[in-house]
Amino acid sequence: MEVNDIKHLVDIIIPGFDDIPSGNEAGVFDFLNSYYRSNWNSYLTLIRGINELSEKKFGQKFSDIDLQKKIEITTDAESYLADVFTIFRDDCFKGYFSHPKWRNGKGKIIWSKLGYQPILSDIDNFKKPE
Amino acid sequence: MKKEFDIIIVGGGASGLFAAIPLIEKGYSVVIIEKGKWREATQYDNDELYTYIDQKDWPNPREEFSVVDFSDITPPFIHRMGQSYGYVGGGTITYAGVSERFRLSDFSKKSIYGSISGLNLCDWPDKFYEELEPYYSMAEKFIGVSGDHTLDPTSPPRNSKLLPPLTMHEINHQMINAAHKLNWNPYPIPVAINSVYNPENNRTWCVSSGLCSGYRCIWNSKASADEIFKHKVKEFSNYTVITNHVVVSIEADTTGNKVESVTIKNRQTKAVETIFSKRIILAAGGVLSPSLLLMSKSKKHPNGLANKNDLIGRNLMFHIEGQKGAYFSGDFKKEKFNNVKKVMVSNHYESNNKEYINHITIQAGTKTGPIRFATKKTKGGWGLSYLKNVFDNFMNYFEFQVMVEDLPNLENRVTLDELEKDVDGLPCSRITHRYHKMDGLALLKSFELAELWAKEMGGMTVTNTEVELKKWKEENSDSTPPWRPVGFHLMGTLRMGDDSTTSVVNRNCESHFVKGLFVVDSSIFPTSAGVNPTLTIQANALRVAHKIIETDGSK
Repeated sequence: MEVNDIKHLVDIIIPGFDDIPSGNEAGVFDFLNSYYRSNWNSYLTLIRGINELSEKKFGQKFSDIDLQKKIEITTDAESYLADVFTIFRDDCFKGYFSHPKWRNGKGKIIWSKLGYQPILSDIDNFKKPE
Repeated sequence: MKKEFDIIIVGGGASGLFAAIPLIEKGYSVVIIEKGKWREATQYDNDELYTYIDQKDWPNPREEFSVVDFSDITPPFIHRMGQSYGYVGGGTITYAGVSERFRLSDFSKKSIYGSISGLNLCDWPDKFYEELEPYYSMAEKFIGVSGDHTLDPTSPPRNSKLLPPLTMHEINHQMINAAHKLNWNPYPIPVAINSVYNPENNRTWCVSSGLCSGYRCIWNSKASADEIFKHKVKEFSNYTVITNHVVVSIEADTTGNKVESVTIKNRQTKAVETIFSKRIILAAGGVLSPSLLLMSKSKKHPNGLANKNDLIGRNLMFHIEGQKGAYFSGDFKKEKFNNVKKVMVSNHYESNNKEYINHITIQAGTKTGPIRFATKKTKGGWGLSYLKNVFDNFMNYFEFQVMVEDLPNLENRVTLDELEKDVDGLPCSRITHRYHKMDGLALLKSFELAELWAKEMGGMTVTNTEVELKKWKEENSDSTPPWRPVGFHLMGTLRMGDDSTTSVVNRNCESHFVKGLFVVDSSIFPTSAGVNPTLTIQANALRVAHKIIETDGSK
């Protein structure tokens, strides 16, 4: 249940639009669950806090409220659960904007949509002058 | 292993490797002790997440760190040592490569400004620039520096010619035009990056990879000290580089007046051994060099080796740095992503303003990677509107870096922490540093100038990291300026000078009190200047090595 809540939260932090993938479409959840597995307890603390806020404000769990309310609760969480919120937010963006290799190749369009095209390595094809 | 050498060099970074080159070429048996490892350029995984954000290529911050005491209101805290200490080549592996010469006025700060309360100003030894100039030219040739200093009115006289400047992008042309409108003299920053194939060092030209500052150049277009060293000494066999070892102490002979040996420890096996030399060159950097001397206590040197005048570790200077970021209109998505600083302005190097005497430069054109860009904003930095903003504006955001001279203060210093030990069991360095009022005022001025430049370009300046500083100035506070040292460019802690009561080493960088003990890193700097120190470090290291050779040749 909490795992699903974390997935929902990923797409609140990074929603897709036009042809740009959302966080989950880009593989961010799997990234969080592997590369940043060490932060999982922080994510659980956040989501449990978010559920408490949701119950208090709307009488329902986070997963049961509509998108607008989810955004409202996430905004509250940013203030009331600032430390763990920042960790989660930053980790989501680290996953989303990193090299696709960290997300099993998903979301390859992201860098080109940004206009970011570093030359990562092309040593073998790069010819030095004679 | 051989136990005795003509020269022992402690530290395989910018200064140690450059000092080694002439000595090896002249036939001295040289050993370099380096706590890191060798690593080929192609072995680096240049990736913003892995390398820059999480710094997984670099020493574990829980293992190698200093204790930093920088504020009157914040207790001391643990600070990771940083990326300079992981591999042979040191900080030159990931530096931005800015290769500027110090200006003439940097060498005579005391003569120009006299004594100022709260500061410990002094001059470099007499006619120092004239003596250093040929070694600046030599270093520039070894490195392959590109740029154009001829457009800079503050540039000191020189006998060298630089490689052509790196390719300018659209934003750089806009920066140049705007600076001209302000009656400034913008110029292509001299950088340690080949702009063309350079047969002198057999390194290829810059491909504008976008992974430059903060990364190892896997093409070796950006000069790192290890690649220069390997190229220069490839025909020689009279040297050894011992990696993965720390120097635990430096020992003097029974008189206490001459160096004799170093004790080194294998970082993996913990095995300890002693190697001998009548000449030991310290090149471990502005924090670790004084720390090692303080650790090297003995009966003859109860306060640390060569520390008769209690000056070792004092006069610590960091550069005062900050970034002013701005968004510009235009379609920059079609441009190559570039994170090299390309354009510089030094018109404000010396201030007409009586509020401060610090030297200032503004270095423009760098960009941040997408992760760092997206996580810059704290509150409200998520959701649809924010994400659209990131995609629309990432390529339109550029940074201006301000670099301000840090003025020397006797109480800014490196000591040994009484409690904390690092992974090698050695006492951690403790860094105590407070900025002077002038440092804060100069930094504020530099932000104003960067903002003026960005606005002249039509940019919307967005970063306002100096808000606390502005408040401090408005309140006319006598408290320490609220700015945290960045931690780069560690200088001044083993000051060079002719007077043994006010300096640690003489003009040849040999200890006043212990013969054969030399220092070649930036610890010896009496002033920090308003430009990056690496070229001056490397030029001076070459100079000291040549001095040793000349001294021996005249015997």
